[in-house]
Formats: sequence, structure tokens, C-alpha cells
Amino acid sequence: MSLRTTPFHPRTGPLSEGQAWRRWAGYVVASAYELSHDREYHAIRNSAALFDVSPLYKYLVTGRDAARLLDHVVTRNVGKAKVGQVLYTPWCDNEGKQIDDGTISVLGEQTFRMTSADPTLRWLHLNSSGLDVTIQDVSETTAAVSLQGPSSREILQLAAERDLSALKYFRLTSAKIRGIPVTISRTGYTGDLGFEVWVDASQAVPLWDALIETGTPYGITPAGMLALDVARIEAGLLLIEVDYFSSRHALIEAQKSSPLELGLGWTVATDKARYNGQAALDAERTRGPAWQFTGLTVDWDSLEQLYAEVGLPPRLPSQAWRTSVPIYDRSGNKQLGYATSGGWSPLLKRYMALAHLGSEHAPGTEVRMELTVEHRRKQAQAHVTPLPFFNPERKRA
Amino acid sequence: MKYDAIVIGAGANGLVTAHYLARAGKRVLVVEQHPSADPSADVGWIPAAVMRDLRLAGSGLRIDEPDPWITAPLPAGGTLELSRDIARSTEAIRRISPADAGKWPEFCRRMRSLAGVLERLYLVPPPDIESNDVRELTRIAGLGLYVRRLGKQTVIDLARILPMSIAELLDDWFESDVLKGLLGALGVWHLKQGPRSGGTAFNFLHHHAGSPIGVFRPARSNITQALSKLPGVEVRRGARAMVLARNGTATGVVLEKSGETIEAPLVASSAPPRATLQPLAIELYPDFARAVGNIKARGVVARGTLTLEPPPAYSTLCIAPSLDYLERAYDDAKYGKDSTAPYVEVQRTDGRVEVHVQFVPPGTHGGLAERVAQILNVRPNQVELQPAEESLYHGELTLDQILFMRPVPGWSRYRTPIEGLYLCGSGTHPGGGIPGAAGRNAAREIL
Repeated sequence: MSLRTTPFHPRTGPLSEGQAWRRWAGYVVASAYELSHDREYHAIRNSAALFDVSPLYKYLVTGRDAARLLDHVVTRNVGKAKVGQVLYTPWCDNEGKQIDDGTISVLGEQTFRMTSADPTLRWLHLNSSGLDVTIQDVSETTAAVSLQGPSSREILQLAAERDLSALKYFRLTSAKIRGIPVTISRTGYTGDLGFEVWVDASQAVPLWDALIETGTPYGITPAGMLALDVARIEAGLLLIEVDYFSSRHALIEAQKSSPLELGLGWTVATDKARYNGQAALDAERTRGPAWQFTGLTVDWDSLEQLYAEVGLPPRLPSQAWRTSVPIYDRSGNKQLGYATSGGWSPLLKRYMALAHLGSEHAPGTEVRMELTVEHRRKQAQAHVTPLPFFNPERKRA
Repeated sequence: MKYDAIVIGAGANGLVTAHYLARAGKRVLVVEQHPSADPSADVGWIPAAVMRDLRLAGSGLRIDEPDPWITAPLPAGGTLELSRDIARSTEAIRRISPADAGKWPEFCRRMRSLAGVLERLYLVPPPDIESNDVRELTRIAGLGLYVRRLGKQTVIDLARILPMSIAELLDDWFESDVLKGLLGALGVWHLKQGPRSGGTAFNFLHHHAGSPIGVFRPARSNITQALSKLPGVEVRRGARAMVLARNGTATGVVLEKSGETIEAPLVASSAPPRATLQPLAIELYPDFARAVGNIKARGVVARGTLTLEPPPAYSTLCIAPSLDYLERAYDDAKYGKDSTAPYVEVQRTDGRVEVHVQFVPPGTHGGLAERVAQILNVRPNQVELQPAEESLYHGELTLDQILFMRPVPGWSRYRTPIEGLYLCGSGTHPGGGIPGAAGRNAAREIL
């Protein structure tokens, strides 16, 4: 069986200059449409970038007990959420270790759309015993694009022919774009002003055309996963199977993480009925998590010096990397943890990394990150930096 | 009224738990769904500790120890009667098979030795194989030593016989179909398995536990009635109770019809684990809820009464003429039908004549009473049967559902993931056929 293409493929396919595709949940999506992802990245931060995010798993949960089911599964308080709200939330196993993370859109009193990175249908069914709830996998029938960047609101307002200034961060509304019914949510994976547009798969192509046409004067740029990866690191947003492993796929206990260890303590509600992992998370909160998920900034001078030693100017990763890299204390002898993502921020002019460190290492702590200079292992000086690296006012405005 | 504990179910296990809790100073309410006490006899070994602790001896408890303990018709006419006296049984067997008679005393001795190991396992919570606790490890080691001291033969027998089918075990020893049939019936007792299924030898030994050497039918008693008359706990009948829980903690029960809630910090349920826990699924982790949902508790037995005037001369009549007969009876059930020729056992206790018919899986039971009547040579209107939808043991005693796997793996210590909610019925270790054992173990775990 070959990989599938998304409902936007009739448009995204011809745009691909280098046929650089990436696998995502059984689909192919563009790594970059141009031969380099630079321009696509800059569109996120300076105009507007359009991503095809259709491969997300999507479930429609409806019925009298829909909120109860979701509350039993996830760590955030779904029962308290209002219609029109979107919740970012992780969900855990019985030991409080994270299985996955995603969003829950409150479409109605008894209608919710849940997105996830991994297939979640069976898990929802297993949790629904005795509940009056219907769970539909709408992954294939619902397509989605993400429009991210400072011009995204203007473009969408024109396309939807309505004022979206009242649509707050993590809220959603239904709208029509050239007659096509869509749901617009003030969400994204870039840490910028941005929206996601949810549409019936059959209307995906006309929606794409409408957005491109409207957005072209504003510099709308179809963008791929390489650009997104840089933006999400700047925004300090973690990625499953990269920055943490689903407790489902972990082979040993040490590969599992709790939301408290991943900097997601704010998503773990303390005011809700029994949910999966509650007892373990309550206990962990009381004793304090052993790990933290934090930013690291690699010091430029240190990098420059390491390269100068071999007679080269500093070299920077041309793309974000996603490998495990040891982090040592300032002496370079004791390992404190490991970085899981990193790369150069063209906007911040900074070499950044996302890392797991013992929770005792406060921001500002000097550490060393392993890197290879001309085939030899070296350690560059770095500092613990709170996340996110980039947090513009317009993100929430 | 404030209660310290509520016990669901006024069967032997529920009442035993209630009385142990009451003896420890707790104010206990027992809620029972049936309006009146079940008059049928309790079948199974009553552990001496229960009788001693609850002083049942002076409370009208009667334990029936019939002699001969079984009567089985012979194909050529006449009957085989086995007595509590091994020598007399040996003589009776000699009339149908001298070879079998020669082996009978040794068979009885070997089976008694194995049942003794089970008895020791049954009066305490099951061994916790995940534990690193020194006391628990010492206990497991003590059990190992105990078995070792019983001799090499017992160690080998345990390892070899427990997973065996009862048919293989009996074919190893005997040639007489009638003898193998009446013994084999105990191996499939309350199981949806035939005598050629693995693990039925264990079921045979389980039901031999508590019986004297050479007696392969559990005792019959009125323990539930005797317990009902004991003072010290309040019993409310005619109300089905469901457990109430909030945020992972039991808060009491709600009565199904009236909607009345009764609060208590401790609830012990002797109802089947599935019926107790499934309504609480929202409080449970799905893996646990699924394990409970998957407990095998398939109904295969119809119990009832036989109207016979005058009462029969025998105390227990067994219609299971051969292992093939039992296997064929099971074959029908395997495909969801009542046995065309079922295994039937008639038991006379205290003037009541009760009948056990197997295999009767859930469904329609056309002509069942007629077939049973024909087998027993009585009129159909003399037979009254109540087929059970679910296993009367709340979980079949198959090898995957015993000891630390009962009711579900990892939760064999009478606790549940819900704080303050305990299980104390025959769905827990050591299982059905031992009235009061689970109830006592659970109460000791609670206290």
C-alpha cells in the first residue's frame, strides 16, 4: 500500500519543486515546496504561511456524555470549557505518563472535535464503556489548513468576508469562505498569530484556491514541514516521537515522560473528576517532577571558538535537527540530560535547542552541549533558557 | 443511620465479610437484592476457621455428610455406591472392575494430598507474585517448603496434574466408565468445558478441597441460613444496591428501585465483579475495566428442585455414565445449545431434593425439563429448573482465572482501583464452592 495524498494534493503536488515529501500519519506532505525552506520560514514570521495539516487524526465525539468521556481521557478540564473554546491537552496512561497530545474543539454543548498525533479511536472507545457517546473517526473526511503569520488575520477576514478581530486565542467560530462552510480556530503550531481552517475534504481544493487568491497580495506562501519545524522550536512546542515518546511506544520506563516533566503542568487540571493518570500526576505534583523540558541557547562565542580551532568559521545546521544530543554540566564531565530538537533561529539569530534536564537546573545555568566539529566531538557552552524562545504579542492579540 | 460499612449481597460470602467486620466493631449494613433467603443448600467446603471465628457451631449450622456420598446407575442394572469408608468403596468398585478397585486407595491418597495444598492456598489471600515485600516472599517460600515436605510425588503431581484434563488424569488410573464418569463430572462442575479440556483436573481438585479422603463431592450445608440468623449485622432485603463512587473513592450505595442512597466509607461487594464494577467504568482505567468486562463467567448450570414422594433413598444420584457422555454434553454447549443428554445430579438435603443440570448455556431451553425428567424417570412436572445466565461462581475456575489472576490479574487482593471498594464474593480468590472463604479473606484484608 502506498502512502496517501491529502485532499489538497491537487494543488500542493504541482507546487513541489524538489519533490521533497515527508511521511505524516500515512500521508505525504511537503517538506518544502521550494528547494530551500528559508522563504517559507520567513513567511511564517513576516507575512503568512499556508500549511496543509490534513494528516492530523480527527475524531468527532458527540452525545450526552461526550464531555465526560473526554474528561476521563485528557488532563484538562473539558467540562469547564465553553462552546467555541479550543483546548490544547495531553493525555496519559494510568501511571501519568503521556500517551499523546492534541486539541479538543468545543463545537457544541455535546459536540467535540479531538485531534491527535497517533490513532486514538480505540482508546476513546475503550474509555467510553457505559457512556452515552458516539465517536466518529473524521480524519479522512475533514481536511485542514493552517494559516500562520502576521498577515493571516487580514487574509482570512477578506476571504471570509467578516471581522475576525473578536476571535480570541484558542477560540473558534464557524464561517463561510466563498460559500464553503468552514470552522476557523485561532490555533497553530508556530507561536505566531495564526488560524486553522477545518473543511469537508470535498471542498478542500476550492478553499485552497480562495485562500491563495485572497492572500497573494499579502505574500501568502505555501509552506512545508521544514519551515514549521524551525517555527515550532522557536515557539517551544514539543513534538511526539521527537521530544517525547508516547508511553504506548516506549520500550522501557525511562523513555516515558509525564506532562509535568514536559513543561505541560499548566494542562494538568486539579479541579476535575477522576481521569486517567490522576492519582499518579497528583503524587508527582506533590513530590515535584524529576525532569523539566526547557530551552537551551548555544553561546555564539563558544561556537565560534570551536570552529576557529580547526580554521573554520562557525557552521550552523541548515535545518532543524531532531536527534538526541547529550547535555553536560559546565565541567563537561557529568551528563545532566539531553536535547531532542535544535536549530538556528534566523529571526532571533540564535542557536536554540529543546532539552530534557533535571528539574533543579534553573534558567541561566551554564551547561555544555555536545556537537561535532569536523568529525570530532566537542562541547559548546550553552545556557538554560526559559521557553518559548519567541513569544510575540500578536500570538495572543 | 450511619454505617461504617455496607456489604452488597447476603449470600454466604457477603454475610461472612459482614460478620467479620461487625466483630471488629464496625456498624455494618448488608443489602440483598432478593426479598427472601434462598432455601437451597450451600454446596461446598466450609473452612473450619469461619465456623470457629463466627461461632457457627451453636447457630443451627448443619453440614450434610451423606454416606454413601454418591450413587451411580450401572448400565447392566444396579448401582455403584461409594462410601466415606475407603474399604467399602473399594469393595463396591471391585464388583465392576477389580483393577480399578486396586488403585482406588492410592488414588484417594494422592488426590487428598494435592487438595491439601489447595486448602492451604485458599484460606489466605493469593500469593502476590509481583511483591518484593520480605513477609510476602517468606510466605511464598513457606508454601514452597510445605509442598516440598509433602514429598517428591506431590511436587510432581502438582506440576503435572493441575493443567491436565480430568479425562487424561482418570484414564491414567481407571478403566470403568461409570467410575470415571462420576469423578469426571466434578472436573467440569460449573465450567464451560468438557472433561477433555485442559485445567479440568484442577477444577476436580478444587472441589475436592475440604472433603475427607475418598469423598469427591463437596459438602452440603445450610450455612447461608445459619449466617442469616446470626445477630450483629443489619440486613435489608429486596433492594438491589449499586456502588456509588466519586473521584476514585467509594461513597456508599444507591438502591436501584427507590433511588435511596446510603453512605458509608467502606463498601464490600459479594456480587459478581463485573456487575459491581461495570457501572463504575468512568472511575476506572480502561485496561482494568476491559479486564473486568472480559472475565469468563459463562452460565452452564441449571439448578432446581425435584418433587419426589416419597423422597429418594439415595443422597446423591449422579447421571454421568462415562467421560464420553460428559464430553458430548459439553459439545452441545460449545455451540450454544443445551446438552441433548445432560449431566444430571440429584442431591437430597434436609428433605429438599435439588437437581444440578449441566450443560445449560444461556438461550432458550426447549424441552430441557422433559429431557431431565426422562433421564431421571419422573414426570416433567416434577422437575423445576432455573438456568443461570452467568456462572454461579461469578467467574469460571479456569487456570487463567484463579489465584493471583482472580478476579483479574494484578487485583487479586480483594481491593479495586476505587478506594474503599472491596470485592468479597466468589468472583475473588479462592472462588466458588467454598462458602465463606473469599468473604473471610476479604474481611481480613479490609481490617
